[in-house]
Amino acid sequence: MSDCRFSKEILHAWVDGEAGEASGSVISHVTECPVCTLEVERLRASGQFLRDLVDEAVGEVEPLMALQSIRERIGPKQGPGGVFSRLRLGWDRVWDKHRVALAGAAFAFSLGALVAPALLYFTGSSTGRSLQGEQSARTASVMVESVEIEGGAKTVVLQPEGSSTAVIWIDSGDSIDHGSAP
Amino acid sequence: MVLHPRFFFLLCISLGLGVTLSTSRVEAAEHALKIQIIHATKSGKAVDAELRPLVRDFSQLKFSSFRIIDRAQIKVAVGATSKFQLPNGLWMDVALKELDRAGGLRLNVSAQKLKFKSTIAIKPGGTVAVGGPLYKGGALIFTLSREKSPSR
Repeated sequence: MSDCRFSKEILHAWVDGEAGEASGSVISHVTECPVCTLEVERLRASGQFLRDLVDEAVGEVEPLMALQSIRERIGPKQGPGGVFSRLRLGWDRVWDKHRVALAGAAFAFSLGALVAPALLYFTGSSTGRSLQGEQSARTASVMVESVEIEGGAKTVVLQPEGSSTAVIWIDSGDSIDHGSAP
Repeated sequence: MVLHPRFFFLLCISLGLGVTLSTSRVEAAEHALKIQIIHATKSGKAVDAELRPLVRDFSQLKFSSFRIIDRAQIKVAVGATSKFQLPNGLWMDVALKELDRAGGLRLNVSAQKLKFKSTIAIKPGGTVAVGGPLYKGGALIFTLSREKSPSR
């Protein structure tokens, strides 16, 4: 091999199919030069050996899948459990993009949850309509807030002062002593 | 001390959830109510012993005899309606609207057939009686009572 001064780089490129326009001159030289012919055979043999080695180890690989596989191998280390890892990855992305919005929403949510019950407590019910006033509503055990009846019937609410019982009477005309009603 | 943003976020969410859940739990709790169906008549003076404290509040009614003919215990929760049928076939509906700030149950009591509806607030120890429907020569009285130590 040392007897031939033909460019080894061009020779190697030709073996790899990358000699381009120089291919013609390489072919004519290799057919006449036994040293380069031997070198070409050696290169082809070692190339085939490497391809066989890869085929044996990896098998037929679809290029995109191979790329994805490589990316996964060189990417950041994932924790155990596929679903958990994906969730965490997804959460990290959302958090990185919307950190301020998420923190604000959480703060608003907790503030609302804290304030709403207190507000309801201090304002009380907006629908309650006491018949006897707010003070007695706080002390009486029972408070009739409203009574409605349609048609000809009448209703009477009886609740002696201090009593823990309220009576709503749907009056049929002769069952209540109206004279002594409060 | 620097509060990590993620920790702050989780803290806020936990706090909000905790308060919300505890509040809704109070609203979702069940409250026991005692129901009595009383037959009031003008004949005789028989009063069931259990009714004696209650009958004092019936003094304005022109009845002299009060007998319990049915009783039940129901549990009401906010948003739920309980129905109870009187011996004359009339259905009474009892629905808990909400708990008021004084610890009372705000109830809607209604009888669709009579086109009657009422809103009452009842605290532990309180009783409301709805009476008037005619029955066997007298009248029916439907009472709702809340025990002094209510069981939830």
